[in-house]
Amino acid sequence: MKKYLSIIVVSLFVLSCGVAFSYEGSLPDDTAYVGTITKIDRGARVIELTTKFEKTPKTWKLHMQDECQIQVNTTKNPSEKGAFKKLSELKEGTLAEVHGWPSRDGGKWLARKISILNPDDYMVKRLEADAKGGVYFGHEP
Amino acid sequence: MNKKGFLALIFAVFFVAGIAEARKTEITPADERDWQVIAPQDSDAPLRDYAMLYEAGGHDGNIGVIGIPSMRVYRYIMCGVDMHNFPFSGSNAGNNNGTPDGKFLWVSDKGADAVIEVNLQTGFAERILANPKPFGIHHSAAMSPNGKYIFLTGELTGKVAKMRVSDGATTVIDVPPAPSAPDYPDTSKDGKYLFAGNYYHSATMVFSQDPFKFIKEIPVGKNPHGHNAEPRGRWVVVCDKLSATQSVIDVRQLKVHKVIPVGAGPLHNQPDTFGKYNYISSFVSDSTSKVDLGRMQMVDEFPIHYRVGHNSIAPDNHYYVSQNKYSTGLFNPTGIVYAVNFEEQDIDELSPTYGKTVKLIPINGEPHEGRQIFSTTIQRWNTGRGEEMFTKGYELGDVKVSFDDRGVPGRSLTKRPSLYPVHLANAKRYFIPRDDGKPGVTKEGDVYVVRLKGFSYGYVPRFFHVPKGANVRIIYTNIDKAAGLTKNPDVTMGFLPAGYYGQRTRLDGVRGMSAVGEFVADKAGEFEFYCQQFCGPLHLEMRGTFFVDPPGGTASLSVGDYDEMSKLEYQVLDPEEREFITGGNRLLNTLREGNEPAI
Repeated sequence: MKKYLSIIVVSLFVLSCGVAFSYEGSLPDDTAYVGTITKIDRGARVIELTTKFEKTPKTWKLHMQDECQIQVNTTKNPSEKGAFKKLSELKEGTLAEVHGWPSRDGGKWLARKISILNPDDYMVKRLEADAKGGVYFGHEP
Repeated sequence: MNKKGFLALIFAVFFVAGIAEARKTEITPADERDWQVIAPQDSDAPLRDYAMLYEAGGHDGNIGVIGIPSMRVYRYIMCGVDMHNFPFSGSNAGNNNGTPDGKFLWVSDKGADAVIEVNLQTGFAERILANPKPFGIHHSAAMSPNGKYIFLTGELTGKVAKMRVSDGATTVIDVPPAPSAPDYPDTSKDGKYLFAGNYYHSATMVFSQDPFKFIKEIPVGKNPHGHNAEPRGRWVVVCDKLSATQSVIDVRQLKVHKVIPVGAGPLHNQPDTFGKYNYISSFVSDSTSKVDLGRMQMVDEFPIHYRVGHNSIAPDNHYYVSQNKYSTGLFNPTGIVYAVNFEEQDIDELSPTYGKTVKLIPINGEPHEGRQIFSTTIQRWNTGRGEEMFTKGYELGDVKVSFDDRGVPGRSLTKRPSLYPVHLANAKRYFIPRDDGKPGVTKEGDVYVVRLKGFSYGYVPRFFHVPKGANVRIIYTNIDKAAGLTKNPDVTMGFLPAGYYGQRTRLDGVRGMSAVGEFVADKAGEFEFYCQQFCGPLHLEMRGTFFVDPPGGTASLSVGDYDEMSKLEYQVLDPEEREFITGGNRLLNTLREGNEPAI
C-alpha cells in the first residue's frame, strides 16, 4: 500500500512540477508584454495592458518608471519611425509592446519602455496568423 | 470641333502633361525604395535614415556609425586598439539593443584591456574605465537593468567582473575550474542572472548579479559563443559554435530546454523585440538562420555572400545586418589588410524583398558587436542648442536625460573631453620578405628575436619568455597554406598581446611576407596574445602567452607590474587627460555587495 501511495505522491509531484514550469501565455515575471493598452492612469503613471495572441488574454498593470520611454516602433508613416511621445499623447486602444520587469518585492511591474506598434506590421500579422493556427504567443511548444 | 471643344482638348492635354510631370518629381519615401537599385535616386539626398548601426570595429580601434537602411557610413569614432562589445547606456529592457537613453556606450577594448566610454551625443570617447589587471577582457556586452553596472568577461585569464560605470570599481571572480574562457555574456533583464559562455568547458556559466557570485555551469553544445537573453526573459539562446545547434536555456529552471539544429557554425544571436524570432549568424554555412522561439525550430535560412561573424537587428525588426568577415575578391584591394563587409537583409515578411540581401558595403576593421538605435535618440547640436545640451541635457518625449553627472569621476559640467586614446602611436612595425627561420627565441646582439608562426588555428611557439627590459623583435609569419574549412585561401593571421603591449605590437600576417614588431619589454607580467584577424571557426581559440620575466623570477598572473599597468596612464598622451581614466586595481573589489542592487 505504502509503495503505491509513494508512487502516486511522486507522480503528482512530477506532474505539478511540469505544470509549474510550463508556459501558458504571459506570466507575472515576464519582462515583456504585447497587447492593447486598455486603461491609462496618467496621474499615477500606470497603464493596463490586455495581452493579445495568447490562448487566454490576460490584463497586466504596468507602472511607468521615470525613465520609461514611449516610442513609435512601427508605423505606416516613415517620418514617425522612432518618434518619442509624451504620456499625454498615448491613447487607450493603442497596440503596444512594453518592456520592463517585476520589482523584486513582487509588488509592481516596472515599465521601462512602451513601443507603439503598427497593427499592419508583419510581426503583428505573423503573431495573429500563428495564433489562428493554434501556435499561441508565450505558450510552451 | 468648335471653339469650346478645342479649348477643352488643350486643357485636357495640359492636365495630363501636368500629372505626368508631377509624377516625375514625386519622391519615393525612403522605406519604400527598392534598395537593390544601385543607381542613386533623386530622393537620395538628403536622406533620412531611421536607425543608426553602431559597430565595434575590432582592430581599426573605432566605433563605426552606419545609417539604416541606406548602409552609408556616417563616421568613425576613435576609441583604442581592438574594439569588441558594448551595451548602450539606459536600461537593458528589450532585445540586444536595449532601451538606449542616448548618452553613452561602453565598449570593451580587448587590445588595451580596458572599457572606453563613448558619448553618443558629442560623438567622442570621453572616459576610460580601466579594468583591474591582470584581466584580459573580451566582452562588455552585458548591463544590469538599472544601467549602473556592466559585466565584463576576462576570457584571457578566466575571470569575470562586475564594474560600476560611475567610477570603474569592480568585483572580480575567478571562474573554476581552470582553465576557463569566459566568453560572450548577457544578463537576464530582471537583474537576477548573468550568463556567459565558457568554450573550454563547453558550458554556459550562470552568475547572480547581486550579490555577484558564480552559481553553476549548464552543459551546452560544443564551444558555445553567442549568449543572449530574449526580451521576455524566458530563454537564453546559446550558439553552439561547433555543434551546429542552438541550445535554449530555460531561465526559470536554469537548464537546457531544447537543442535546435541550425546552420553550421552558429556564432551570434539577434532576437527580435518580441522574442519571437532569433536570427543567428552561421559562419560555416554562410547563412542567417531564423529560429522561431515559439515553435522552437528553425523556420528559415537566408544565404549570405561571405563568412559572417557578428550581426545586428534594426530596432523595428525590419532589417538585419550580417557583419561578414572575408571579402577577398569582392571589393577593390586596399592593401594588406583588406576590407570586410556588411550585408543588409530585409526581414520584413510582408516585403517583396523578404530574405534577400538589399545592400552590401565594404567596411573598415574587423567588426564585432553591432547594435542599432533609432536615429531620433541622437540630438542635433547644430541648432544653437549647444549650451542647453551641455548643461541641461535633452528630452526623449517625457523623459529628461541629463548630462549633470556631478560627483562622477571624470565627468563635469565645465569640461567634456574628446579623447583620442593611443592606438599604436609608439609602435615600430614593418614588413620583410617571408622569414623561414626556426620558431622560438634567439638572442641577436642585444635584441631578443622571437620567430613566431601563425596558422589556422594556433601559434608556434605557444609560449615564450623574455626578460624585463629586453629589446624585443617579433618576426611573425603566416604559415597557412589554405584556411581549412573556409573557401577563401587568403586568410590574414593576427598577433596582438592584450594589455600594455597591445598598444605597440599589433601585427597582421599575410602569406608570403613576415610582419615585424619591435618594442622594449619594460613591464613584467604574463600577457596572453591572440589573433585579431578573424581567420575561421576556431579563431577565438587561437591564443598564446608571452612572459616578461622580472629580474630573478618568472612572470605569472600573480607576478608582474600589474598595479602600475592598471592605471592605464599610457593610454593617453596628454598627462592632463589622465583625470578621465578611472578604475583599475585601486578600485578592485570595492563594490559593496548586497547594498548595491542591480535592478
